[in-house]
Amino acid sequence: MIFNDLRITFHCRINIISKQRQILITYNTIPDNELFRKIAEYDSKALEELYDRYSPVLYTLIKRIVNDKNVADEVLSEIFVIIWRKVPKLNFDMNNVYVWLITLTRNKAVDKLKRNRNEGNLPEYSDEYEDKFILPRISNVIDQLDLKDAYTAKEKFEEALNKLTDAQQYVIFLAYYNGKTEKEIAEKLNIPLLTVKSKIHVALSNLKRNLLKEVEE
Amino acid sequence: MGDLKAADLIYAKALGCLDSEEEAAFNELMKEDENFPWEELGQYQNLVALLPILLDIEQPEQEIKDNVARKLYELEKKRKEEQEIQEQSLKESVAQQEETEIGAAETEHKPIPTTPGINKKRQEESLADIEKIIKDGNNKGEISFRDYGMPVIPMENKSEAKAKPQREKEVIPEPELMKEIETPVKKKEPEKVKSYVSKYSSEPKVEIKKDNSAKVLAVILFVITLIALVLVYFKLSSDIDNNKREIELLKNQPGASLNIPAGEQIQDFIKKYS
Repeated sequence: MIFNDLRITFHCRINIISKQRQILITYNTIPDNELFRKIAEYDSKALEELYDRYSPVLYTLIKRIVNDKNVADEVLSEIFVIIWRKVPKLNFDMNNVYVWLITLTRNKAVDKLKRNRNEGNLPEYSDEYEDKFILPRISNVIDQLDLKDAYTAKEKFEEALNKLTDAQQYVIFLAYYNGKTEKEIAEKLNIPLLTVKSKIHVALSNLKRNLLKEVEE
Repeated sequence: MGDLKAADLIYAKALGCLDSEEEAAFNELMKEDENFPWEELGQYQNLVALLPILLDIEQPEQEIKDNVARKLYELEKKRKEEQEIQEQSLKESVAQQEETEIGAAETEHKPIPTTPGINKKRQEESLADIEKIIKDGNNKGEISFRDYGMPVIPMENKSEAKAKPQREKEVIPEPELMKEIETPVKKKEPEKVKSYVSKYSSEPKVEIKKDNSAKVLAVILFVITLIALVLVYFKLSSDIDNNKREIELLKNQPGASLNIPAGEQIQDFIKKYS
């Protein structure tokens, strides 16, 4: 009887240790979409892993947009709060976590920038507004991109971007990092709206074509 | 808006430069248009999402992570409180319903005492815990999400977590229910926990029995070993004494002082010296 108790105690301890070890190993290695599914179950360890994995690139992007350290700190923490808060509403079968996170961060940072500058007559920030304009809708029909793939493509992407004309690069810069709409770009550059539309169209098409060429080479 | 319009807006949508009206129209198209060019949108979304990779990546300060953990803990606490309130109101309505059903049979019912102080007390405890952890965290210089007692579901428990059932209405057998109504219902005070880590942590709970029997066994084994050692000691010392005595006896016997060289047989030795 006593030995049986001792044996059970020993096995329980061994089980706990092995489970803890497994958790440590697994979270570092599981892919983004699996991590995202765990967040759907309110697994905070999964969210922590997502933070550790993505916070540097997201923080850099936010800082580039808002151009203020304190605001960037605030926006980064808000991003992860949004994810946790919106768990019931999010599509966790979505397989492009990288693109979703980058787009969410960019949307939130641009919104913050515009609110701080009192630009664009933005409506009051509400739950509904967040669902409509901050949470991104990502196409699920193409291959997923993750952080590793993105860093692998960095050089080729840079070369592809450098092949664009200065005007095309500037339009991309104004839209993506300054959060300007097509109309605002047209006003800023004092050119017709249609020209801006066509510039954006051509810039992105060329960027895609250049990148494909770089990859083929 | 037709298919052509969606295709026109895709570039601006991917780059995030649609105005609010266009954005709303585009979202409608995404929902309604069966021929929506999802593949093209996906390609451009992937393309644009590569832009931040070109920036010089900067590491955020640890403080931000602590801040996120703090905010998430607050959210989690709020969520749990709301859940508790919902459960409480559900329980009360069930109890009320049952009370009215039994009311016809019973002449007098004692009201079920409510404990309005519990939630307040819990809140105060949680807040005290947060303050303590924040202080501790500041001393440590690092606070992880786990320090805030956020639930961590281990891989093995995934299916269990998914199948976590909502608290169901308890069906109490009638006689027991009557008894319960007759005697004032004592609501269980929430168990006091030292910190919210143990309060909210959903790590596998494995009950480890207290091994008093093991301790007793160890003591018995120790005493037995001690006794055995003492016995062996006495046995050895008495053997030594006996041997000493025997040696003394042999020494006193005649011829004991003869020096027989090693290797020689006694018979040869006697012959040699006789």
